[in-house]
Amino acid sequence: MKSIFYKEGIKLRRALAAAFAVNAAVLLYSYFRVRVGFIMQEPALLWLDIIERNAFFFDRISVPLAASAFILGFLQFYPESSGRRFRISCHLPQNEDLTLLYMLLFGLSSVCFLWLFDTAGVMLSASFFFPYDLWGRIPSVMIYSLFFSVFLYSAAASVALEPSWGGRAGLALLLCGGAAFFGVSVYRPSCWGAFIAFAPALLSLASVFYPASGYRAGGGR
Amino acid sequence: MRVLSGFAVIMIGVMSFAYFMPYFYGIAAVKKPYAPNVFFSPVIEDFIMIKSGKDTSYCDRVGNIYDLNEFKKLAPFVYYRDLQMKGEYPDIIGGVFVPFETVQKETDFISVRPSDINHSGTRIGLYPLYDTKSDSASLEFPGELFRIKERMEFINASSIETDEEKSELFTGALREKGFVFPAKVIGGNTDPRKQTDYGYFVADSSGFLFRVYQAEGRPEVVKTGFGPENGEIVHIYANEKPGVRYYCFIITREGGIYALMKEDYSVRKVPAGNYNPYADTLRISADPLYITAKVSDGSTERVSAAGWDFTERAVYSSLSDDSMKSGMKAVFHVIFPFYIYDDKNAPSFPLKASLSEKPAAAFVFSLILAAAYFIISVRSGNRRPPYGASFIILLTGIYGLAAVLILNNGRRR
Repeated sequence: MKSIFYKEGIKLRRALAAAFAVNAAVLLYSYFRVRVGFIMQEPALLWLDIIERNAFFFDRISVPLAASAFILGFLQFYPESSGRRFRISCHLPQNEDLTLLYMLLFGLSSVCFLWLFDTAGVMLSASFFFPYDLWGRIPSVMIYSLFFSVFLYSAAASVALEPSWGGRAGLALLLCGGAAFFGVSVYRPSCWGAFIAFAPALLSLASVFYPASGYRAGGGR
Repeated sequence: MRVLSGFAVIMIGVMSFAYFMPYFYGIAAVKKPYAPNVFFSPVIEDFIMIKSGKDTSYCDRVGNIYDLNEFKKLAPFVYYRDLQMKGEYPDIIGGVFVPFETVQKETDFISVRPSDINHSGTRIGLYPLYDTKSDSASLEFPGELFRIKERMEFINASSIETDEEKSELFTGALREKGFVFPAKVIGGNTDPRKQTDYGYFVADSSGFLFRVYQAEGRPEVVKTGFGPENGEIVHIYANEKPGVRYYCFIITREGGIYALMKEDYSVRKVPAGNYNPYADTLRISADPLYITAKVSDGSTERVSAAGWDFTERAVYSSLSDDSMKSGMKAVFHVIFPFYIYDDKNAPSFPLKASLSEKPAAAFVFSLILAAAYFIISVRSGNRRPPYGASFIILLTGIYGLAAVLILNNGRRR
């Protein structure tokens, strides 16, 4: 596990640094946009506007988070299929599923750290401008961004690991529709909604093993 | 692991197809739903309606057909501007002298959708309290918002700190009138562009309703006539129209609709039949002589008209048409064993799943698909009969078939 984490760390170090940098930049941009809003307008009016319109004042952060997760998934697994690395790894005297599981764990931890970084950043910047009533709801809303990012990461990983273009197209078609399950109305946290979003995220993680299974001896690759 | 991961891919496919396929089918099969637009005529003291379709017709309940001009005269509180413009506005309507200015002041229309009630519990509980008697000509937007939990607290938006003095003043005023914290439901108009302010109508935790407003910086609290014996409040609708006879409409969990009267803070029950606030749309129109409540559940509409003594004068029920052609609807429930859809009225998460209205027919269709897939696969020389895939198709129908075909097709290339 340690060696796989080390290997994945080397492979993704630039991508991870870029992802954190982009997310930090978007956080800073969001902070300044909100700050400008509070300078230009009556703060109480801004609060009311956000409450009445259910406007997610920090929603722009979910875009770089999702994009980062998708790119990380692709960059982590595309070299495995294009460079036939995964096929070679399958000949090593170790369990291929466990190898893939560790690789996924690395990617998953990266996405989770990125989400924690974003959530903490959003909560910190929101606490300067909003009362607890507003910023206290951030984690329950941001949890959907985490599930969505995990889903996109796994979908990108599945498609990237699949060696044939036909298989890639089929997987992409089946997986991309799952993104519809992460459309959540802001400020309306619900256990049912969290489960609905969690289920495809979990299924998408399991789906990465499907293209990987074809690399094994007798898998026809 | 291969079987499990393949199952995971197919399940994601099934879930997304169960959302997208019925959605696109619905778009292809949509038709304009037909429902008559019903009004209560104070002239003939019965319902009149506009039936729109290929040809729009104007008629009454008995079947008398009118032209548009006659129809407008039968609904003078709806078309009073048109009638006034043509010089045809009658000052005496239903035997009562009702000048044009009175109609302008006293007509009102409100609409309460199920989403208003389902979503009200998730609204962030911060509200601006305007000063009803401020010095300026228009209402000034306050620099703080309030919440009512264990006490009434005003949060200054510039400093994000509680204004202790003001909070204590208002909390004390509420306690003095017998208000039991925390507040259960708060209703009021927060719109900063409004012209008049009646403050907020707040249900306390013991089920009584209070009016709270600010006059020259001082708290004013009135205990209204609504109590727990009237039911549990789920929604309060207040649009603050100055000329009307009521402050707000109160909706209870049991479907009771009450008007809180301006005259003496008494509550009067609006007759509306069986109203389910969580599923039905309510439309109330008020005019100088009548108050009409329309309750629509999507397939039926019940309209009841009452005078201002709140006794029911007339009732009309009509069936609404479906938004999908009947043949297309039947096919829908055969080919889709279940479907996932957006429920805009849902209290929290908007996605909902529903089973086919014709489960037996849908199962037979899925069985045919599964059998066809099994036979074709075996005949095309598959090494192993596809028991698992056929079982998935049997359970998930067309969605499973699409997912299995896409996955298999990708693998073969």
